[in-house]
Amino acid sequence: MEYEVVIGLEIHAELKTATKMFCGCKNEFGAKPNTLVCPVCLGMPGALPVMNMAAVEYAVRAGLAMNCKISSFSKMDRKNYFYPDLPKAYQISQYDLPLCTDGHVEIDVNGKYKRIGIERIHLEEDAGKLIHDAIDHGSLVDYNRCGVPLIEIVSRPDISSPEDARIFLETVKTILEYTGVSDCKMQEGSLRADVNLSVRRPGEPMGTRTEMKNINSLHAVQRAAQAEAKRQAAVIRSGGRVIQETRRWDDARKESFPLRSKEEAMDYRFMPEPDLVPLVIGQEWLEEIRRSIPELALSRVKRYIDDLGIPRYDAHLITQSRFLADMFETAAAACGNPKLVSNWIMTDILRRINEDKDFLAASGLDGQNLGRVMLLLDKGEITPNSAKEILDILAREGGDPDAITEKKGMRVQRDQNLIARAVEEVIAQNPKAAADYRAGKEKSFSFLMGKAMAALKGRADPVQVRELLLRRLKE
Amino acid sequence: MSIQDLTIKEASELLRRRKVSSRELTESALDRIRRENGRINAFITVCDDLALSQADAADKRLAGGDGASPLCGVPMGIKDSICTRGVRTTCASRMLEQFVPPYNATAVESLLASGSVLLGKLNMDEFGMGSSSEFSIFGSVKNPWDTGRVAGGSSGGPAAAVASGLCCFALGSDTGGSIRQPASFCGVVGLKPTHGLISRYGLVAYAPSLDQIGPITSDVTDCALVLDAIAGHDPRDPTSANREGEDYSQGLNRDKLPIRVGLPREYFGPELNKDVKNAVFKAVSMLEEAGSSTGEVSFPSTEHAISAFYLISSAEASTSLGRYDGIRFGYRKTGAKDLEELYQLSRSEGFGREVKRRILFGTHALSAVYRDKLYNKALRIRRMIARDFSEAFESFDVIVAPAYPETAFRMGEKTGNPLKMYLGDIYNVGANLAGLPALVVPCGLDRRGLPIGIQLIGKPFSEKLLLRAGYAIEKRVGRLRPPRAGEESSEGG
Amino acid sequence: MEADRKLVRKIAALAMLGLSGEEEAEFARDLNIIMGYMNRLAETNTDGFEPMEHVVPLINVLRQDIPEGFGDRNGLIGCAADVRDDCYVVPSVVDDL
Ligand SMILES: [Mg+2]
Ligand SMILES: [Zn+2]
Repeated sequence: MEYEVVIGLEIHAELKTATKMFCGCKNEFGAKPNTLVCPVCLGMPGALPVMNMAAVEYAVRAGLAMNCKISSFSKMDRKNYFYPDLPKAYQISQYDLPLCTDGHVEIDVNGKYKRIGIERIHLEEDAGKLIHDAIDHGSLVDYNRCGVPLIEIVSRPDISSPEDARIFLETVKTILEYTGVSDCKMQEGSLRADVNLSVRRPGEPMGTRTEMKNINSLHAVQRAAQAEAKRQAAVIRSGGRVIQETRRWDDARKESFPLRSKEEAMDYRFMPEPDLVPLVIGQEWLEEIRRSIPELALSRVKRYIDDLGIPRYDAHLITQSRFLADMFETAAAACGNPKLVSNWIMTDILRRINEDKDFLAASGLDGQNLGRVMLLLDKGEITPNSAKEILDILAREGGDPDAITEKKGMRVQRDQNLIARAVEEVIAQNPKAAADYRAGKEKSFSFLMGKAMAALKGRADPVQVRELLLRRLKE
Repeated sequence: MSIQDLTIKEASELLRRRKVSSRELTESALDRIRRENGRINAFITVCDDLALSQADAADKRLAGGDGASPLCGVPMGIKDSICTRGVRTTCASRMLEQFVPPYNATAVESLLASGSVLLGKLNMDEFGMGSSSEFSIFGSVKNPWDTGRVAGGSSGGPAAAVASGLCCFALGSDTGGSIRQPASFCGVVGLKPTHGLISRYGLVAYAPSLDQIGPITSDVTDCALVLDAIAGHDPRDPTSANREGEDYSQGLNRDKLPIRVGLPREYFGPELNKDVKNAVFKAVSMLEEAGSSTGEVSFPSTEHAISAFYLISSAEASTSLGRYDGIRFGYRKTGAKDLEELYQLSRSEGFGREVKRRILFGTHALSAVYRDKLYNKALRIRRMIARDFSEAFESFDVIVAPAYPETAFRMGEKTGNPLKMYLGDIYNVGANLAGLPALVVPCGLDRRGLPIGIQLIGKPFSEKLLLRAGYAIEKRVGRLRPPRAGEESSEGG
Repeated sequence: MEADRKLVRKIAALAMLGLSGEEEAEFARDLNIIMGYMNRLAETNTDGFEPMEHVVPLINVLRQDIPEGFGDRNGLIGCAADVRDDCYVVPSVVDDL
């Protein structure tokens, strides 16, 4: 390869708190414009910010989950710039003493584990929303989002391909979801990434980087990085020089455009926030937060592969959501056959989720009853068709799998006499097929087998039916 | 006696004994404002109807008998940098000329809860930036002792209003002497409390790490009474101190005051006016008379105090005043062709010269190239100054200082020379930089008959001790009242 | 002096202040005088003194994550000079940073 790509991501994630970072206004998406505002988040004269404890804890949780050092002493700063979505003309952020530093996130690139460094995670507030060209010669501003707590996760430039960039963002997203720190709704903008990218010939020092801001889908990050790497390589190849600038990625046109260079104006004049006192995270508080962190996705992936024999692809899909992974583990424990459970999740459950993304939340199905259905299936007490049917019922109205099995008469038929009677009837009713088979037409056997199973309403053990059918035909 | 010259304590006693009603007090104050304000220009906004309805409510409470605060029914004025719900709060700036906050400052909330009557809002230097109350779009405040002279600033309106009896007491705010210097110029009592003792919620920010709200009153007892009402923890201000309440007005009068008083060598140099120096020394001897010991102390970092103060206060101001962009509140330039023009014109037309000067200076001090050399350096000097004080407090209970190098100066004398104006704050800025309480009490008159104040600076939260010391001086000096020339002539005519 | 005016122009742009030529000259002169006075500060040895940004010895002043609305929305929006459809109005903004 002629050029190496060097990528770093800056990820902004809105925290899933009930209220904003510095006031009691609700942290909610989709409310009527300027209904979730107060003197504090509008930056009115004399109003003062008071920090939300949950925001601090969420940020620390994210830091711990990404193996960061948590600063025992940290403070807030003002980052000054003028923009209509920023009411105070400064963003309360963290400058030289962020809450979390020096962490890393491990990513799995097709079975190859890579470690991406996290330079820092800091707390800051979100800005309002501009509604462009809503009126003649003007834009409208809605401050509902203004003051929503954010963490900014800054990676080291350790990412070496557009695909890795996507996987890294996906991994971070999963971590934030597992820890309950953010709901990561990229389409609502609660998770957004800036891509910093440069290219160089192998062995050469880092090239000049560009920054693409506010990309809000996983695949757009990969596409933007691909396109930008290609663009920069072309610039250099044609003897040009990459200039340091901020660009806007247009995912619909698959192109990025330079934004007006504001190098002169970008002096943020950072200053410690005099209205807020420092944060000191003591050992006890830290441990309390640490205890609230569940086992994360990649660790589960490794465990599923190594201990449970689940294929890598399946393990990733199952662990994409903590809810699903927890369901899997509960079901696997209840059933004792993790592979069977994972197979069913990969097909039946994921299909249901694909049809309705809120399926799991709304359904009466949980790890416990899924596990018991799988157990019945694994012991041959029910057929796969019955299992599906029970899952339908559970999803609709919940209930007890054993009771449903009994009530619906789904327990597999093991009565030799009953099966023998059914087999005899099938042979008697289909003399031609029986004759064909005896004459060597193998195909006729499956026909007869199907008829026999149908006669038994599908609730007999197929092995048993097959055995009896063969025996009778050979008589 | 004239109702307008009542202290809070006197008024409160009359109200309690039903010798006078709050409505009568309020009407008479409003009447006096109508007659006198033209001469003093202390009030920017007078809220007649609101005041009278509050007075009636107070009268009801008073009629209900016991339990009412000593402030109940007593008319007050509030500096126009402190937010009052439904009453316009201008900061004496074109920027906020039409601004009516939908919320009260916590201190105002406390006073209203005590039953105080809000007469109106008081004039000041725009956004608190000035030492003479000449930088106001509503015109200069005149000193009631000599209307050719300034009332001091930035809380010139509150000091002049109390001195001339337009209100019983007032709230001011102090970032670098803004309560103390005008109190001294007008012959009234002013307290800059410990940083964090009084909530800053609703105080329009100039420099948040230095700003404090404080009382301006006729005497020390009143100062303590107001402090009783407004001191205390406020969950809406994260820098507010969470400590047990104190009763400031109890036990002010002490026969013996065996405290150690420190006189900083650097505060009594050649720049200090002789009359001021003598009056301050005389007041110190009164403290000695009450049983105090006196000693000299040195504050070597004094020479840098003004630089550090202006760097820090301007830096904080430059960011705190960024919110005035014409979008959500405040002056908006109509017809701006684009966003940048909206910002630039709204701000340059909305702010006055001095405010712009400090915003520019502060922006410079924080800019990437200069931040370390200017702003951060000033923060280190600040620690040095704070250490000077804390070391001094190992040997002394109270540090004595003049409130200003001279008495009230003439209108226009310093407006053309910003540096000269800044240098005058030398004795005041230390208490703000170190967050210490400082009380100014009148201690005499100069040869022209203008009042002089002595400043008592204490350890954090030592307000009670300062008030006792101030009381000891006040008891010996007596209350100073400006000549009532204007009033007499208007009554005569 | 021209250098000072250039500096004032740069600072004014950062501070979003539109200055007249006369103001520019005045502020350049003042900045010069004030900075001249403050130069003494730069020469002071402050080794061993950490920057002091707060005077209050407080840490971790935090609120519980419990919603509390403001109520008087009209009082807030009523402070603005130009409001349409319950939104604040600004001149067209195209650069979305
Ligand atoms: Mg950021
Ligand atoms: Zn709010």
